[in-house]
Amino acid sequence: MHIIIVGGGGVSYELARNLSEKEQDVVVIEINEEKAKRFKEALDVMVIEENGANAAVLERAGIKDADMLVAVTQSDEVNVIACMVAKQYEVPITVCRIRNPEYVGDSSVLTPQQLGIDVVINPEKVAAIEISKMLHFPDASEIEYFNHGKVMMVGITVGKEADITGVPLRDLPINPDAVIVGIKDPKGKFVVPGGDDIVHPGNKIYLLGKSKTLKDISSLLHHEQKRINQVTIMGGGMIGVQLAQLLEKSKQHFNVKIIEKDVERCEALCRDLDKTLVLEGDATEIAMLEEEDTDRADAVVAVTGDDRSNIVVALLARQFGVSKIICEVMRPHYVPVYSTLGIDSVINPRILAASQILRLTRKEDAVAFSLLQDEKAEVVEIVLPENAKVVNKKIADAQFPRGMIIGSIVRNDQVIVPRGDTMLLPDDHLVIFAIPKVSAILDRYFAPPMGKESKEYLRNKLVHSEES
Amino acid sequence: MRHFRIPYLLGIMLLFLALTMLLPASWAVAAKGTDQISFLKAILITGVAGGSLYLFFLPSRGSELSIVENFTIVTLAWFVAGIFGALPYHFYGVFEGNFLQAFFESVSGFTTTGATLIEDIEILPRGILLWRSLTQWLGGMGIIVLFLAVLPRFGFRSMTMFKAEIPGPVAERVVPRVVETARRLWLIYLAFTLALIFLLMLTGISFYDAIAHAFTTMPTGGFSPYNASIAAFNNPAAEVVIIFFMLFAGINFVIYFRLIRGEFNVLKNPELRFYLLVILVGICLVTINTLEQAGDCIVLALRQSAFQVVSITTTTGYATADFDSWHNFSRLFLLMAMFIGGCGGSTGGAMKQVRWMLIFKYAFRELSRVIHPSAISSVKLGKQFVNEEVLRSVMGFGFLYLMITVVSTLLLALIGLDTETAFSAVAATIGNVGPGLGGVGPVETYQVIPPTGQFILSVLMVVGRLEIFTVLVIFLPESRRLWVRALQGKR
Repeated sequence: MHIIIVGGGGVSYELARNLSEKEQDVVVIEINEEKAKRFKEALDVMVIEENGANAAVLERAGIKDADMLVAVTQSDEVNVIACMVAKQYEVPITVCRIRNPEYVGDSSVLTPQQLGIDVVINPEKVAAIEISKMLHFPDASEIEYFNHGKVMMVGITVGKEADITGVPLRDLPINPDAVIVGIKDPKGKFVVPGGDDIVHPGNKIYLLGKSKTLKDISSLLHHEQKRINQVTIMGGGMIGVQLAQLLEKSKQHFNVKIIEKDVERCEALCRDLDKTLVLEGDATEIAMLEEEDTDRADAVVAVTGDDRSNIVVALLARQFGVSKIICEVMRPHYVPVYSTLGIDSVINPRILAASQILRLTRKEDAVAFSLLQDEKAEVVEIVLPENAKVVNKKIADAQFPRGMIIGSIVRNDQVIVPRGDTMLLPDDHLVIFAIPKVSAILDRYFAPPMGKESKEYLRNKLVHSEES
Repeated sequence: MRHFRIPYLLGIMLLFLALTMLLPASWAVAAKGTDQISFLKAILITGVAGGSLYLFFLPSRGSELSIVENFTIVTLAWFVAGIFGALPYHFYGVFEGNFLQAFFESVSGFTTTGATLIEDIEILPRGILLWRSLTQWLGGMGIIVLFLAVLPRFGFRSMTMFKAEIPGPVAERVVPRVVETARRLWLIYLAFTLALIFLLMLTGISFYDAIAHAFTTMPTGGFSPYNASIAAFNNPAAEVVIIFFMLFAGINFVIYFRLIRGEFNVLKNPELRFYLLVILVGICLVTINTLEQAGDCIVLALRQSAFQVVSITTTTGYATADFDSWHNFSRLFLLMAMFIGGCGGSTGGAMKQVRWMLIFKYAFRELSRVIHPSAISSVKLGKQFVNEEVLRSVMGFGFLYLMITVVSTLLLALIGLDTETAFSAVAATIGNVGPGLGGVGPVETYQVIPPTGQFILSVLMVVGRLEIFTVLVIFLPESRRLWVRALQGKR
């Protein structure tokens, strides 16, 4: 694939790194010399130091043959123009980062499609949605829905009291509704398990299966699940405000406080939020935290936009005895540090946004795609085309490589957790869990024949799933 | 564990080198030449050495190579290729068991220099001579770049390695991925070579001679299987063809790529225009200057000087005349031309046209600053702004190139060579040209240089081919510590 990325920020870097490692042709357009240099030195991508909204520049980047254009500069306006130009060249997929809801919200007369944009992404909004999911299911550190919410994947740290520990997986009673697709030990070593693997206390396991069952994970793992009611959000930035709005709208009842340093920003927050208590102050000040009874909060969310402040806030919250702490991470390579600090739930807006875009680049008929936080594994949802290699075979006979598991099959709206003797039929929706190396070659098994048509089909599908 | 990468990658390179020896070896077998056994030995030794490095040092995948490791691999690759490439000469006894001389000949091949130690080439069998030409062809576009193109899966994928080999101040990507870029460049190179073989055969040159000369023209190498070089043919049509292909080889290969894509405005490329201008002025001056010696025959003077100016400026080093016996102006003009070389991104050697352009522009900018002290001005190539980083590296390169030339000339003088021989030998080897003046003139060989001198010049050829920084950087104290530790197996 030939992919043009306009803008050289964090999302762009994650995306370019991931794609170039998968040997895709990537051209990055970034006008700032310093930012461009980082790409040139570290990645196998072509870099053009110009304005990415300029048609001549885009032509030099090979827009005529491009399969996708991703506009993720700091400026919404530049992004929109780049996408408009790209659509004039009939680029099949255009992705645009738009932060300002005024451009694409309900108040706008223009739809994204009229602006030449196929998919709008907003990293902060995606992050807010993720955090909101975590607050709804506090036991799980990672939650992902597939197939309109019927299938769910959760990542959860196994406690000592859970009775699945210490026994090889093949000796565990078979649960018809869920399957363990991944085990990660505290050092970060990751396996896609076979029958011989054993779950130890303290490991994080990834479960894939029916949403209805998984929503009540505590019954699976036999420990008490505590509902979250009191939420304190540290930082009133884009993530903070959108999270508060989501929690206000939720069916579950939350008491939300939001702490923001800047007075003017606080006034803006007051206008945007109804039920949330807006507090002006520094979230890293102990006095402030004591005054607001942080020790009584069920969850603390650190989204100040600065890694150092977030870490301090998270550590202070742990000191206060808060059980659920969710922390925003800006720099991806900091992620392993957080688990050594005892902060289990981290959110990286850049990786989230990058993974959202990445799923658009997949050759198989992927309708959903998700990266785990530290990129140790990927979850792909695929609609099995009629002419794929593995159709009408039993899973045991399909000779799949090690490092992947088909976690769920949705057939006629029914969720099936497959076993070795399950047949794969055309139009099955497969939810596949795989390590990146294996994920890169999944198309050998599941790809439909490539062509403009299938690309078009894929796009429609994506836009569709985006809306739902 | 990444220290295992270096021997592992070198092992792959040696296996590949053994594979390429099969071409001249099969010629030797087909011609039932006296050199079959020497190729067999050379292939066995290279293959076994490569295979054992490859098998004993399995790399751990995933870890990126550091900058110093990249440079170390590239530099070692060229020296190691020089050593193993010398084996066919050594086993055949071309130099009667003198391995240093075989090494010199081999390095001169891979670096596309074309300086030779063989007094009588024509008595050698065709297999050996084909290997001699083939080394130049392999080295022309870069050994590592070749690996990038044909063996992308083996971990030779870094842009740093690519940059280390592609000549010129900035290595340009023609397509997003390095591997694809390398592949395109080699395809263009291959296409030119095939076209040249075809055209030379049209002019009446035999198939063998056409291959041997195409293999040394396209990399601007200059080895010829005849003592008299191209003059042996006495074939004006072949000379014209070779002049044009030397000229093509000296142009940035990115330009051909753009032309294929239909971007004809690259013909306005300022470096290309400068290059053609330099050649044109050179041909005029030398023609006028040598008119008298050519018996006032303007056609002969033009034919000889056009060939010689193109041959020396592109750093090929073929000869159709003994330019060492020309008027002193022409001799010195050609000596100076040895410092210019081809365009950046071409197969030509020396300092490169674009660097001279930048040095001139930089100097003039400084000059105008004397009058306008507070002027803020930028150096541009055509409409393209050149950033200060590139300028700094060009200045550094120019300084080092001249410094190394001066120091090496002094060393050769110390060994007892006369000024002209010492200076021109250094200029001709560091610039990858081939023949110099005086004792190393076009009708002479480098046998006049004592063994120490031959060793110095061998190193200079690699230093010149890899454009100085790549080689020198690994001898910086801090990087030396790094790779010495790496070789000892520590991190």
